[in-house]
Amino acid sequence: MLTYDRLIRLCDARDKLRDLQQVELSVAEIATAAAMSRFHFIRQFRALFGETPQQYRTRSRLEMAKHMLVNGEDSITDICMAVGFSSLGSFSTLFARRFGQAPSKYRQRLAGSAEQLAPDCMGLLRAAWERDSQFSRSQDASD
Amino acid sequence: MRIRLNSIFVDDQQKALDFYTSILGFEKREDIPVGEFRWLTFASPEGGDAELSLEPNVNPAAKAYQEALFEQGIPITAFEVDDMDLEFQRLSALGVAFTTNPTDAGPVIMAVFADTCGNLIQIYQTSHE
Repeated sequence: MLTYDRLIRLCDARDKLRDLQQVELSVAEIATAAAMSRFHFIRQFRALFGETPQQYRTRSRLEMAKHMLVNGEDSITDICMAVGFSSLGSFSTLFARRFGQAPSKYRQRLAGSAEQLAPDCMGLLRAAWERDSQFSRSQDASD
Repeated sequence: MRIRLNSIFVDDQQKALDFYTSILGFEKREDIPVGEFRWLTFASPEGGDAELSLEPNVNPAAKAYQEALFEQGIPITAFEVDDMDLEFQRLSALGVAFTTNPTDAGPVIMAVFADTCGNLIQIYQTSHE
């Protein structure tokens, strides 16, 4: 069983992984701060959060980059560096893999539409309805 | 008025899809792409009309709410099971992290685990007299 104390230590570790002020901290250092061996830390983190600490760190950085692209005017290179990537090529590849578009195209598509970054339940349902005519017809038939 | 749709936040919809189907055993009902997100709902194969929507927690308020509950050890929702011992053993064997092992809580036996998507989930079995 995961004790509450360990849950909190793993949450603190999660916070460190996404803190841009602590990008230099290695997974091993974060494990030490959580009073766990690196092996045990990675295993418990994955059991709790569904991904390894490094996977979580990468995903968090890409999410932050996404918001910076849509809400600001910094260059893609500057955003890449700001969120802790050292290679623009790697950043662009990972970004496209996660969000389906290169950073530049993503910015073009969502510029001025920050609300699309955070759809709510009914917004998602409404958009799904509009995009999927088969879904719409099946809903009509069931009414 | 009927309760047909419930909704919880998840930090990643693909992770959630994997966990809620492969681990918990729910069936996917809707999976409609909406930009980078999805309209994603699930239902129990054991019957009932209710569906569960798993929403992305990208709204800062949603993320803050979800994380606050998580860090206080509070489950975001609860699912009923017929056999707690069986379910606990099955989920434990699949590597699910429990924060509360099966516990007699009066009218129910309850347990709590992490859904790997930022939530704690309670499962409960109604105690039989």
